[in-house]
Amino acid sequence: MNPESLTALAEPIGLVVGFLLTLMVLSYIIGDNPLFRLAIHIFIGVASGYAVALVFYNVLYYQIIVPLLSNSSGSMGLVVPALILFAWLLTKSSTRLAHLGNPLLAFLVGVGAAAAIGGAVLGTIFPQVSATATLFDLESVAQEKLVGHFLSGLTILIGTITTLAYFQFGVRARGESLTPSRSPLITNVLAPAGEFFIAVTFGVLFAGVYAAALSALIDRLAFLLDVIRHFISFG
Amino acid sequence: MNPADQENCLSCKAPLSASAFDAPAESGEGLPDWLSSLQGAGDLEEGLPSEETPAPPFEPGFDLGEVQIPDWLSTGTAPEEPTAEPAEGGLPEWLSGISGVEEANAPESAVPEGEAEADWLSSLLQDQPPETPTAAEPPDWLKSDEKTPSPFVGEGPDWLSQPEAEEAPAQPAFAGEIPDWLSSLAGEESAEQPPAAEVPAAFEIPPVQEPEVESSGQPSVPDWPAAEPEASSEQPASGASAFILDEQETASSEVPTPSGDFLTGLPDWVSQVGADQGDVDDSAGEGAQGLVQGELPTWLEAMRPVEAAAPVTPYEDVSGADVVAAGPLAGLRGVLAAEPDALQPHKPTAYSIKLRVTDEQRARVALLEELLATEDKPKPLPATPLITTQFVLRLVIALALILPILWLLLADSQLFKPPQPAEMPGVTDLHNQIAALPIGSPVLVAFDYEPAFAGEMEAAASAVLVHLTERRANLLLVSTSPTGPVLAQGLLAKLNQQPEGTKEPYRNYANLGYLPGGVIGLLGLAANPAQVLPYTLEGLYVWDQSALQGINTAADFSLLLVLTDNPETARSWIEQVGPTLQEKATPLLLATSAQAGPMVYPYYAARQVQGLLSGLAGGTAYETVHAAGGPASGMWDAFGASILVSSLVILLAGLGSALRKSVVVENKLSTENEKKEQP
Repeated sequence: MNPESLTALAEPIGLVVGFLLTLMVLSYIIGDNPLFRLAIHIFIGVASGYAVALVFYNVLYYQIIVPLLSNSSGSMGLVVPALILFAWLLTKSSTRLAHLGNPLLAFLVGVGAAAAIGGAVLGTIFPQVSATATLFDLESVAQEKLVGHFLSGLTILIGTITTLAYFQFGVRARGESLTPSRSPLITNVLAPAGEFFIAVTFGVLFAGVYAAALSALIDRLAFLLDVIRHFISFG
Repeated sequence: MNPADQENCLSCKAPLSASAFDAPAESGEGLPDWLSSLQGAGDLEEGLPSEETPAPPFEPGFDLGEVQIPDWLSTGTAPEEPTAEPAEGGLPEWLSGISGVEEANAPESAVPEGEAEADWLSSLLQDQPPETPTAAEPPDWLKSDEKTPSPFVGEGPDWLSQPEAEEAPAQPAFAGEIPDWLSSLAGEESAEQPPAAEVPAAFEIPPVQEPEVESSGQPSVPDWPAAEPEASSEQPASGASAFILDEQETASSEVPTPSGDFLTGLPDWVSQVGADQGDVDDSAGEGAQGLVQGELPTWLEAMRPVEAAAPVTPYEDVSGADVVAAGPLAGLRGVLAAEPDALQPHKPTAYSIKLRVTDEQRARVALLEELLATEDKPKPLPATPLITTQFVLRLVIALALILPILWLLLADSQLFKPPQPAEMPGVTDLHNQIAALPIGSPVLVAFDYEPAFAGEMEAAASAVLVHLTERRANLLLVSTSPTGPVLAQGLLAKLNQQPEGTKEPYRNYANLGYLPGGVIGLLGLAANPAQVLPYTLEGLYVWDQSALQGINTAADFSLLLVLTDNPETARSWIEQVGPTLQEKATPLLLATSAQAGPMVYPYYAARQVQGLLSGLAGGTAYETVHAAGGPASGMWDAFGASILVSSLVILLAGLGSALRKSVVVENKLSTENEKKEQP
């Protein structure tokens, strides 16, 4: 059988396998059953195997070995240190030599933490604070959108403040005879308002998750119909 | 005290006179045992002289039958006569001392030792005659001795030292007093035994001493002086030395007793008699006088051994005492048992080791044992009915969702109005950004979603990708997820098969594969994408193509589109690559899942993201803006119906829950009211 024939058969085989696996997953409607567990196991195994093959083929081979074999000066300057660090990091796999890889691991963790913190500060905190402040820049807003823009900005401001106040668990002693407690303003006003905003946020997130799940269900049902249509049209 | 005419002692039956001491004719016949044994023990006496006092010199011509009766014999046979006459008689002082010893020893056999010592001390203190016995008439044997020169002229005793020829004239005067057995013995021993051995044997006539001697005024010499020569062997014997009272007890304890082996306990001083004869002769005479004339000093009185003179211990009646039943003292009465009862071996008392457990404790133990026994046994699951309320409810909800979806998918209807781009923030901006791309611009597309969200993401992003293909953009596909490259490959393959897509298969893309390293990989990709991802999945180096010339950083791309279902992934792209893109105002567009839309919307509101598309609704809106059909629009009716069904289910479930709760509360209240009404 030539490769073209195999390629031609791959599509109907893939459709059948996908069809069966989809039915096995949807069998969870009637409860946990071996078919559902088999489909889950197949999916995990295929994903892991594919990831290993991809990493070895796409990363180790084409990003380290091929540049090393190409013998280009620019690549050698990066690949040789990468190989040294790679061999050095392998010492972590040995319990006896694991301590030798600690400096390299510390370097990786340090660089990763620095990149994450730097990105969070410069890419999230400062821009978000600046964007929240600009909500009250009414001069740049058109006149017809002024009220809505202001209300949107006010809602964001109140939501941010009350949400932060909800997570304020500090207490302060208010008098010698009184026990330390939270501020009544926080306890009675801000915290409940923050709790409301948090609940709305979680509701929106759940709605997004449910919408995503419904989209996946519709896609699978559409796939089943397409497969059926495909085999029916062939029939 | 024996009478004067008594020949034998009333107490000890010893002969009191020389006649009474006549031995039987035949040697050994009628002789006391000790004396007869003495004859036979002549051999033993050889060499018996004390080591300290040398034996008298042996004289070969000695013959007992011809010599005088030795003084030791005289002291034994004539006790009632004064024995010491230091001034007149030739009897040496030591002989008188010996006689005194003999006198003290004689009653010693009948009375206790302490009593004897008391006697001599009393006689010494009270009955001391004012005159010495020198005035008394010497006995016959002493008379005969007077006729002969003093035996102590020489070094040895007279009876030993005088030759036989010289003794011949004196023999008749003494012959009648010498017993026959002694004569014969003398004749035999003179030839067979050395005279030195005979000397101690002659002292074995002790019991003839009579206590009456004391009554005659002769001071009784205690037995302790017998040991005096031994104690003071290095000193010349003297009469004064006999009164060393601190050695009295020791001396008395060493007095030989008339037993068969008495020769072995013969005092040394007896052996020294011959050697010290001359000296003792003078010193003893002086000492004797001192004894007669002196009085017991006070210090000596103070040193009187009262305990020794004490009477015997009082009689103790032990008839009622217990008899020892075991041990080495078994059978004795009135003694302490060697093995007291505490040490007697006996069988140890057996104590029961059985616990005293109450019934309640037994019940608890049984319960605990039952728990432990059933712990290892697998507990069977409770048999649940095949069809439960929950199962029915789940099945009903599933059918309520699936059936409308299938029906709307099969019908291909347009029941629900698709969302407009104005209602979906970011969709119009996204469309405008893509629409503004120059033809053939390099576009970096990130497929960072999981296969589980492929249905939603592919439906949402298909219209965007179709729009990009319409712009003939050079697509470079990357992914920070291992499953991203295959999803990208599959989506592009699907787009090429769609009838709504381009007529010709779109080949103007390169899948660069997986980007490892997380945020560090993204940072490297933003800095130098060609160095981080030089090759495609097929192993092609695409960075030297004309469309990609001049791309050194991520900002050199015309556009960056991120397809992700995870808000964290979107945030990483925004944080790590966004600043680089801002250098050249390169737009960053996001096509996310519905669940990540609300989380990434603030970035769009803050203008960190220039275009946003979220979920199936965003894809449908994009298709609407783009004025082209797509998978999102085909799924929108089903999506709307499922949302409607879901809303109805949620509403009905809420109403049912509220109704059930109200019914339960109402039943509870009614029950309470009934209880209140019924007493």
